[in-house]
Amino acid sequence: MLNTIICLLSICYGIQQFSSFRKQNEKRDAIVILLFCGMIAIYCNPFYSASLPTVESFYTFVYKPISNNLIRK
Amino acid sequence: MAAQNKITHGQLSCLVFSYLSGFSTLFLSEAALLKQDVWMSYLIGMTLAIGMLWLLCYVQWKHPLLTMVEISDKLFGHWVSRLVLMIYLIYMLEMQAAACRALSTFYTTVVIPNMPSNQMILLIILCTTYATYLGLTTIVRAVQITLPFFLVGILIICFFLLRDVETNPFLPQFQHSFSEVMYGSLLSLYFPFGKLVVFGFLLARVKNMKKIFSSSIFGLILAALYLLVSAYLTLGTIGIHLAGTATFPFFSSIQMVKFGEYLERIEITIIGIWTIFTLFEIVVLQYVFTILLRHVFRIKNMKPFILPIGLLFFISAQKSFLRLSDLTFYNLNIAPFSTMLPIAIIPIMLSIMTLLRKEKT
Amino acid sequence: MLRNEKKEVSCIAMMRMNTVKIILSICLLTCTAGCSADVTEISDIALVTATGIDYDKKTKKYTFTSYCLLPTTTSTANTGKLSDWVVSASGSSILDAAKKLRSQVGKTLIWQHNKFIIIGEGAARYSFYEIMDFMIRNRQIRITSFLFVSKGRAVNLLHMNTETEDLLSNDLLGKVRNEKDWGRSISQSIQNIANWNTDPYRGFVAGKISKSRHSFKSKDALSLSGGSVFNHGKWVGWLDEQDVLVVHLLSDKSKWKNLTFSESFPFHDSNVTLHFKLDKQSIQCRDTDGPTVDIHLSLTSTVGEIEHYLSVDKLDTIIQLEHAASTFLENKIKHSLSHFQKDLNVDVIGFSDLFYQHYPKEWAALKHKWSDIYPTIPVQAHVTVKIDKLGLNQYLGDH
Repeated sequence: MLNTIICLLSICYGIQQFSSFRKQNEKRDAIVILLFCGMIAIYCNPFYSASLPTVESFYTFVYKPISNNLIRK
Repeated sequence: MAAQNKITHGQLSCLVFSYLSGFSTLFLSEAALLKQDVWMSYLIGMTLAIGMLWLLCYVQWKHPLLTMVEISDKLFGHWVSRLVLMIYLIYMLEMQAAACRALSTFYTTVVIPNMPSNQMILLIILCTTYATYLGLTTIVRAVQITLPFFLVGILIICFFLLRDVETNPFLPQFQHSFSEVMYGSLLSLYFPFGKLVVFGFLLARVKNMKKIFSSSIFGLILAALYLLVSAYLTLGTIGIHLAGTATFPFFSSIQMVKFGEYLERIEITIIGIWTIFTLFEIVVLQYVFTILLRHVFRIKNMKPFILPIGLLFFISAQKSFLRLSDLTFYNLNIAPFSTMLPIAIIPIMLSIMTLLRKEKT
Repeated sequence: MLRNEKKEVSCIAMMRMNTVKIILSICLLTCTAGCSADVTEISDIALVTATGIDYDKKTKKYTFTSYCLLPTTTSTANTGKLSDWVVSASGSSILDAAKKLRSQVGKTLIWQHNKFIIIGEGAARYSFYEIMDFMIRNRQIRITSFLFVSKGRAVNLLHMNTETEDLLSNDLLGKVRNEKDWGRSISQSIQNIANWNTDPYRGFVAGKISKSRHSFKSKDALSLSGGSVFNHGKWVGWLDEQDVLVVHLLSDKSKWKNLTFSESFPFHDSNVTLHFKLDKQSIQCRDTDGPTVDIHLSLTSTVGEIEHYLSVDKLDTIIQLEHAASTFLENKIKHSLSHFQKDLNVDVIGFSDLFYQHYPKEWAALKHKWSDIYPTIPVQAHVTVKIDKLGLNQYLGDH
């Protein structure tokens, strides 16, 4: 429920800020905020967000072999 | 940078202390691992962190008019610099997720077990987002005002616990192998001393550039002393065996405090200390995150991005470390290695590039 | 005009901002403590101040008993008056039995003021690990609570009425407080027990609680006397009162700092009773030609009573009395230590910890054969007694 609310809020906020930046002619800021809020909305969506990668899962995938070798030694 | 946005070196010390203290005494993983030899790992970790800090200060002194992000652009070039700053952005997401989870796990284990962790994390993030919105000078003033109370709280706790320590818990010495001590040092470098690397991006905001190293060291040494004393008191109060198996050993040792028959339950002080210091830690991480994000994407107006950054922090914390065992596994096996790049390798590279450029000119 | 318009616009913006802030603050109120799922009303709680755990080996069932206090808040005349109530339930595990209590109680049980855990003899023998794990893991049970082993079942003891008609937990607390004036009962905290329980080289002594009845009384009373010995996570046996006193004298300072005890011994055809207080204690281990332990105790003493006339006003008599007292206490300590070493073969004092702390290299070789070496360790006890006070009267009559 909380995630769904955040998902909707971030979409609305992203669109609102995007249009506000477009009015000020800040194209880069507009695109960045839209992408940012879009990423938040994707991560908060109630359907398949559990399988999306996080920093923890990414680093565990990358560093686990290194850690296993070094700690074993 | 405008003069009114600068902080004094005293404020820097206070911020460094509260940031490093954070929830450093919550799990005491090194003490559980090394027990009576834990002081060695703290000493080595602290020394390595001092070395890293010196490298960052050296880089800053050589470029007194630039901020660290600008120095990174100058030394690495625009694109490599962006990559380097992205590494720090991911590092900060990693650290804040661990901090949020640690605090919410503590609250849901000990204080309010029926509260959902998400709600707890959301409250933490809303608070830190608002603090980030208010700016660095407000943050350091808040730290300055609250720090004396917490220092008194820490002293009271230490005084009461010291009465219960009867035999020296640091005996016998040198019972662990060199590799175990090195591993413990690596753990203590990752957490809490290596977190100091984030302050590299705030050094340009200090008024007196000559005192950035000494004032940061002061905060670091105080934080190391607090950690060492907590480990000593924990091992001495609840015993070596129980300290190795308790989830929150320092908390369990404070629960032992009993003055007369009625003055007990002083653990509320450490709950307050952990909460506020962890909030300060996440505030600093979030603030530096906004600085770096602004530079990476060349954003002109940062204010509208503060709330989405807060939400990103919330999602990162919510989706990470779902079990306490995940957090423990990550802290002991992954994070000591994954944080080497931002804590050690990049500062070394920055200082080497600075030295090479200096020699060229 | 333009400036006024600008001022108006900024005022409107500020008002909008303030409205948003107020709405957000109101939304955040839902997260305050009063709306938490962990809120319990004081009129709904029953404070558990003593807990009993029994285990039946045949049925493999736990019986969990709670001695609860109900705070009365209904009328101002009754404030400060507490009514007590005992409730029991059985289950296949301790937590199962504890949760089943909810079917019998109409209140929310709170264990945060629980001071006593009483475990039955059966539970101590067959199920001690589960009990310790439950207590250490549970967030409500404080590790400063005391653990006692009861002779018989804990549930029977918790149903007893006290002689003073006071609450059972207050009565027990008073008896624990009186321990420092007697020294022959022991109250061990869960923290110490949990710390020592998993140590493979040492055992420990916990408290013992039982019923006792004097011949001139018609009903039983709860009594704390003696102790219970645990080793390798299992209950080994009972410890008598004299041995418990020696455990007090040889434990950490918190156990003997406020302790005063009395001993009677023969001296010059008279029985003399002295009150003792331990001033200094030193237990040192050495490893020259094998492990040895030296105990040095320094006590101050007051004359309590004498059976016949003794010239206690003379310094010579006092010095002789001090020697006699020292010898008596040394023999007492040696007798108890011999019981711990040879009869029980349990390191209740913690000599293994001393060797580990001060002679780690030698300990690494000793520890594998500790159960064989421990009974043979020579222990030298040196006691010095100083009689510094005689009481309000030196002796009766004219001599």
